[in-house]
Amino acid sequence: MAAPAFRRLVLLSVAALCACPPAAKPVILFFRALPADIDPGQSVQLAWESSDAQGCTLTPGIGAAAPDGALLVNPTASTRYTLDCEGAVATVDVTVRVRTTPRVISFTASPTMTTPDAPVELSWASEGVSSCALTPGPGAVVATGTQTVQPAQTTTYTLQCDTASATVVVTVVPGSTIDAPTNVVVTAQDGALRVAWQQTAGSANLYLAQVAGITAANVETLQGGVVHRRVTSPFVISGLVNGRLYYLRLSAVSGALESALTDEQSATPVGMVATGSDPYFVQQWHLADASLEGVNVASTWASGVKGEGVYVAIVDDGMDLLHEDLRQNVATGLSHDYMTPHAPEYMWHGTCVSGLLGARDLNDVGVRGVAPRASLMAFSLLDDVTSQNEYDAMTRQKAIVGISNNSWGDAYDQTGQLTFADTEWLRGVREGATTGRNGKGVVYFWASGNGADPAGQYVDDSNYDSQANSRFVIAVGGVGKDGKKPAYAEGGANVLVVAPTEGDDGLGTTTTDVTGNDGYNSGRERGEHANVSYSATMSGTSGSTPVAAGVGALVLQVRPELSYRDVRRVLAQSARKVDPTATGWVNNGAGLHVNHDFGFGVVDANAAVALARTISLVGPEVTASATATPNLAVPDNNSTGVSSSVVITGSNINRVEVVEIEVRLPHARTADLEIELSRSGGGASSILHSAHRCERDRGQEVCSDIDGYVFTTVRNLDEAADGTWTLTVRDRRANNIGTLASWALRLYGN
Amino acid sequence: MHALLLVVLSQSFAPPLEWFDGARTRKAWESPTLVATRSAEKVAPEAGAVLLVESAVMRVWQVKDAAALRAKNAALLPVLHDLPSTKARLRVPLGLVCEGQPREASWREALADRTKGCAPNFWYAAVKK
Repeated sequence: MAAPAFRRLVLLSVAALCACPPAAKPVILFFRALPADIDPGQSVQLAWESSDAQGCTLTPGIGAAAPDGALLVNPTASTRYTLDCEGAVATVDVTVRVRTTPRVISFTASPTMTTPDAPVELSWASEGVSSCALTPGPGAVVATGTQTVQPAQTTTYTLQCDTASATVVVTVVPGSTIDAPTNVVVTAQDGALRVAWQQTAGSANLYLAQVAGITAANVETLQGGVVHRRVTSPFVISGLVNGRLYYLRLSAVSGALESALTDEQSATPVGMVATGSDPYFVQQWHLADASLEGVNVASTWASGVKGEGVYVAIVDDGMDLLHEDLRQNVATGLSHDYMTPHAPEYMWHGTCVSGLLGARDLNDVGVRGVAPRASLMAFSLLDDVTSQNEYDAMTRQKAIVGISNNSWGDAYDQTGQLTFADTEWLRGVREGATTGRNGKGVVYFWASGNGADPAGQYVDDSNYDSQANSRFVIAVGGVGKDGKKPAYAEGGANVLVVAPTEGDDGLGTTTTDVTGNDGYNSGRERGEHANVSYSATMSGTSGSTPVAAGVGALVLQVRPELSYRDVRRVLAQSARKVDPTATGWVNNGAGLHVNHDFGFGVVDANAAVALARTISLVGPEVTASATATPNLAVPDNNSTGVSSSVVITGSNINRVEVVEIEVRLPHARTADLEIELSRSGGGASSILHSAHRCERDRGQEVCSDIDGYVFTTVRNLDEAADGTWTLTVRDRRANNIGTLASWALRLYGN
Repeated sequence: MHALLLVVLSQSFAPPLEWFDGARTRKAWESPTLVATRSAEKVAPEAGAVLLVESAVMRVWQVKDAAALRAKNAALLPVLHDLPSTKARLRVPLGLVCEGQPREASWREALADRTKGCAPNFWYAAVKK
């Protein structure tokens, strides 16, 4: 039956196709759902349009539909709708979002029973919400999280998450007594102290002051006294000053109860944290940053600059060449001993000096030098100082020596007398500075001296020492951890910079000591390190000089082409102002801050290395000079004195480096005299000689003649040379007279 | 001891010696009470001599009359001061140094001779600063 009918239909259709234009195929022009994502209960509009169709079918659930139309549907679940218009099919998906009912999954307290103010941790988890509210307490909190609370009494905590909520009860049981915290551990951090402890109940009050003797009653009357109340372990006290000693005690508190205070402890925040394996490194405050008056070397090391490839001569009494923290840096076969055999007692000083400059870093032992990868050689001179040996020590290995450290001087320095350098020594430093290192010069660092009067009466000045004031050396003074000039440290117009060493606070620097019980640390001294191969007591400008010299080695590593004159400018220009309230700070004519006691300031490794990378070289040395023969009587006990001037013109010195002033001034008591050099046009003035004590020997006053003595000053660094230079001489005490016979001015610059 | 002290106090410096250091004339005062010995010489230069300075290579002794003692013992070295003071910088002349090489010479010859590239070869007591 069906088959004959189908055949007839086909034949009719074929006949029709043959007689008419062919019929167009139905097409669905669009079929869309708006919106496509809905929450349960929302409606969706389905809309469509087709062409060349007589009718369509929309499934599921709709059935026959017009070729064009729109209708609303309300699916309860995600649904794919299909539109079929006479063979043309299109689909559209409607997603029904699933909405979770807000629910608190968990809400707990730990512990649920405690003492007043003790920390309790609340923990919770929820779903179907983005945030909750916790009361009493912080209010809005995340949907899942924790919160520490310190209830003073029994408290019911409520967590509200939309329509869901939960509660937890923390029961607080007051105690009648409370134990003090135990196991208090204080750890120094950068500008902070971390305090950790244990306690059986409650929280703690932390009493902090800058002086000892803290009690609960007096703390707020003490310097820097403050109480951090109801804190929990661990607690970090921030905002502290690196290098300053702080004292602290703790008490446990719970409700109205407070325990007894713990024993007083002290600690000092440090500007750096040990990152390597040198166990005494954290004791080496002189290597820390500016806030500790250290040389600020950390970032220089971090950039890989540690003195590698720079040869350093330690001219001293010797060096323990086999010391565990030095031997890796000792250049094989380049040391020289002027005295053989060399007994261990004659290398204590040099071993300490060597460690400050070049102790090996990251070797699991001891300390670090400022230039911990420099190559060291020991020229063991001091127990056989002859003219011949002095010359040799200044010029030995001059082709490769970049830095020569000299923490020594004549034994009769520090007397306030003018001391003439040995002519052979002078020949040596001139030769080393001008021909060493292929013409760039050995950079000599020299200790300014320790002869300033501890009682405050000025006795010695570095300018009275013709080694420290030579124009071929860099004179280094001292600064303590307290940021002050040590009373003993000699200042002078010749002092270029200062570097850290023991100050009046008695805090020495930590360095290598002769291996074993020999040396400054024999194991019997108080305050020394447990390892007797290291000492915490290095002092004097002997100690500051290798710190500065180490910076010199870092500078030469990054810029080997710098001459000794360039290094002088780098160190001065990059030095840090210290003790800014100290008298004597001025800006020289080139804008550089300078002080008789501190030179241009504390040597700063990071700043020096950064400047060394970019500074322009000084080029050939240019000199200018003038002489005067005033023959002026110096009025006795007169604050005005006499002055003599010379004029420098057309010198072609744009930047002064060093000035020498040679003076002939016959006087019956030269210790009465003050000699000052000044320059017109805002240049820095320099005190070359101060009235000071004149030595008595067997009842007689013995004062140095000022007869051709050469003073130097570096205070005019980078000033122009041309101008009027004036020498003023004042006789500050009565009864002795003299005459400013003549003087000569010699300017060295570029 | 008191007698020695009185002797020391009574002695004074003679007029200075002079030498040329290559740039200017320098002065030195010979100590009337100090003599120096090489450290290899362990024996005191005279009975009652006081050891003032001792280094690894040199010893400086306080004696009653340095000039008289050295006249009797040529091995003893004089001690020179930069000022007429026992507290002033001291130098012990050892001979000459010529172009870096030591040369045996009497100390007076060393002070006198600044020609031929030579200078006095002094020993100094050093201080570790």
